Amino acid sequence: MVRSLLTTRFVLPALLAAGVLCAAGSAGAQVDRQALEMLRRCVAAEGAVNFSGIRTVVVFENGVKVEGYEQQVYEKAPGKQRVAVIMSAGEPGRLFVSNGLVQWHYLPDRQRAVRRELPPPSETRARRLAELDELAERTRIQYLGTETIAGRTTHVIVVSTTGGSPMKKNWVDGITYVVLKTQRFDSEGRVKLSMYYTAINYAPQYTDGMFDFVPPAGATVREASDLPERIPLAEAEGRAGFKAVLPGYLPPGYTFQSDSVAVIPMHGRKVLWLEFSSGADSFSMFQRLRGVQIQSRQQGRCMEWSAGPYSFTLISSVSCDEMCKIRDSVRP
Amino acid sequence: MTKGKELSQQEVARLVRAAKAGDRQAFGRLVEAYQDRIYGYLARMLGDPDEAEDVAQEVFVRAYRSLGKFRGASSFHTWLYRIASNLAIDVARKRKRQDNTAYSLDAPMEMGDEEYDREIPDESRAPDQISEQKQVQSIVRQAVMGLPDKLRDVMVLYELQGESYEDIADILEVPLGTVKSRLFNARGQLKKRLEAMVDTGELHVGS
Amino acid sequence: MTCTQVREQLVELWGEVAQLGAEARAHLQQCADCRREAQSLATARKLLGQMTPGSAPEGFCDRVLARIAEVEAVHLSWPERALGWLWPRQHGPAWIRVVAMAAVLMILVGGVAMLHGGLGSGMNSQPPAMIAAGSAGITSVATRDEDLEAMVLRHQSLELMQPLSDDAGVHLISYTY
Repeated sequence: MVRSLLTTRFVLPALLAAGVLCAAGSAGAQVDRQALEMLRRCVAAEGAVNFSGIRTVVVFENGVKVEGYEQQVYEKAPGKQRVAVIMSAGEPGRLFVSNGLVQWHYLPDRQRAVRRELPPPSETRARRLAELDELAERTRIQYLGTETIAGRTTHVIVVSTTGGSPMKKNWVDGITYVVLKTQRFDSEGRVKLSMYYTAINYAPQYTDGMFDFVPPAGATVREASDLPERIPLAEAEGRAGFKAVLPGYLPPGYTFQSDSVAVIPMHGRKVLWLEFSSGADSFSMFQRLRGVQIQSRQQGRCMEWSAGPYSFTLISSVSCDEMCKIRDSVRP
Repeated sequence: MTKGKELSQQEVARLVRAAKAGDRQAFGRLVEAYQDRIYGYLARMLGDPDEAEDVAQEVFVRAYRSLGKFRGASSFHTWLYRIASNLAIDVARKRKRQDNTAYSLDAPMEMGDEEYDREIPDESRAPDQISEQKQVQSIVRQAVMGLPDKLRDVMVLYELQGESYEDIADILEVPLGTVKSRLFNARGQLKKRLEAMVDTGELHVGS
Repeated sequence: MTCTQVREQLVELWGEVAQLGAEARAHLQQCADCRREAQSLATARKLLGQMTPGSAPEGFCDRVLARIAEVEAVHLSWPERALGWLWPRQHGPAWIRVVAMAAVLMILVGGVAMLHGGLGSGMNSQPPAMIAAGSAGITSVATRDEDLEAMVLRHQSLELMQPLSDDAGVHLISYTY
C-alpha cells in the first residue's frame, strides 16, 4: 500500500515533469547556445587578433575539385589585412590589402584594382552580431567537438538548414577565436569551398607599408559602390518603373528578401537588385528593361539572359545546375 | 603538395590558351611540366619503361590534338591523367589478349565494379647479380602489375603518384566512393601477393 | 570488435596501428592473427614506398613536339590542301592560318554580295549607347562586361556584410571568367 502511494504521488509526477522538460529542451535544440556564442566571439575577433599564416583554398564543383591555391595571410588589429595568392616562379598573384578603412583588391593578370571604402569596424561588427541572432532563428547551429588544425585545438561548429543539410562549417581557434578552417556546402551537402590554415603564427613580424596599396602604373582602378538603400519590393518596383519577375525555383534553404530590394542606376537605366539568401549564403539577381537583345551567356558564376521585355543577370555561388534551374524558372 | 615543377593554375591556363592558338612552344612547356608525372604513372601501370615512353608520347600528342575540347572544367593535369589512364588500360588489355601466359592472373572477372581474385601463380625467380634493393623493387613492381587493371590504376595514382581521392575520381570519372573501395581492395590484394612472395622466400623483409 | 571489423580498419589505415581507436587496439593486443595482418599491411606499405619515382627520359619533350609536327603535317584540312600556296603550313602558328582563311572567306562573301547588289546589314557603326530601345542590335560586349563587373562588385559587397561571411581576402575567388 505504501509502495503504491509513493508511486502515485512521486514517480508519476516526476515522469510527467521529465516529459515536459524533454519537450521544452527539444524545442530549443535547433540552436546550441554554446555554438552560437562561439560564432559571436568569431565575429568579435575579426580584425582584432594579430597573426600571420598560410592558408589553402580549394574550390569544388559538383564535388570535384576545380581550383586550389595557397595564400599568405597577415592580419593586424584593428582591421588591417593582407592576403596574397602564392604563385610559383615569383610572379605576383592576386592581392587583397586593407588598412581597416579602405580595401584594395588587385588582379595583376588583368591589371585591375578595385577600391572599396569600408564602414567603421564597430558598425560592421554590430550589424553582423544582430544578424547572427536572426540567423539562429532560421537555421540549426551545432557544436560538434574539437579538432586540431595547424597545430591548434579548434572548436567545430556547423550551421545547417532546418532540414539538416550543412551550409557552413567553421573550425574556430579555442583561444583566439580566429577561424582556422571553413567549409561551405552546396545544396546537395557537398563541399563547394574549403579554406584552412596549414600554418599560423600569433606573434607575426610586419613590414612597413604592408597594409597600404598603391595601384601600379597602367592598372585600371574601379570603385566598388557603396551598398545602396534597401527598401521593400513594392516601393522598389515603383522607383524602377516595372514589376519584379521572381524565379519559380529556388535552391533549398533560400528565400527572397522582399524587404531588402535595391534600385541602382546603370548606363542611364534603372536596375532592380533582388537578393535571395539562405542565411549563410546569398545570390543576387539583377533585372532591367532590355534596351537591346542580349545573347545569353554564362561566365563563371554569372549568368545573363533575356526573357520577355527584360534582361536578367544572376550572380551566385550555387552550382551551375542550380543556376540553370533558377534561370529557367524566371517567366515574365 | 608540390610535385616537381608545378605550374600555377593561371600559368597553365595561359599556356593552354597559347597552345590552342597553335603555339607549340607553349605546349612544350606544358609537356615539360607534366612529363615526369605522366611517364611515371605509365611506367608503373605498364611495367615496361619503353612502352611507357611510347604511350606517354601518345598521351601528349592526343592532348595537343584535342586541346579544343579542354574546357577547364577539370584541372589540366587530371585531364592528362584521364587520357593516360584510358590509353594504359587499352594497352594492358591488348597485351593480355596477345599474351595470356604472363598475365593470366591479371585477368579479373569484372562484374561491374567488383573484381575477383584469381590464385596467385608460383612465379619463382632465379636470383642473380642484381642488388637486393633492386630485387625488392622488381618484386614489388611485379606484385603491383599483378593487380587487376582498375585496382592497379587507383593504387598507382594514390599511393605512388600522390593524387587525391577527388582528383582520382575526376581522372577515372567514377564516384569518390568507388575510388575508396577500389583502393581498399587494391591494398588487400597487394598485401596478399607480397605475403605469398615472402612465404615462398622470394622476398626478404627486414623488421 | 570482431576480427573482420579490425582488419577493415587496418586496410583503410594501411597497417598504421597508432591510428586505430582504443577498442581496435585492445583487440590487437589479444589477437595474434590480426597483429600479423597489421604487420603484413605495414610491410606492404613500406615496400610500396620503396618504389622509385619514374622520370621521363632525356629528350622526351623534343620527341613529343617532333611527333606533333609529323602528325600535323599529315592531317591538313581540305582548304589547306586545295589552297596550299596560301597557307603557311608548318612554319607559322595556327592563328595565321585562321586569319588567312577568314580573309579568303570575306573576299568570297564580299564578291557574292556584290554580285547580288550590296553588302549585308550586319554592321552597325553606332556606339552601343546610341542604340535605340527596342532595336534588335547586339549590345557591345565591352559595355556588358562593365555592367557585369559593376553587378559582381555590388554582390560581393552584399556578401561581405553577411553574418557568416568569409573574410574579405577569401573573396579573391572570382565570380567571373
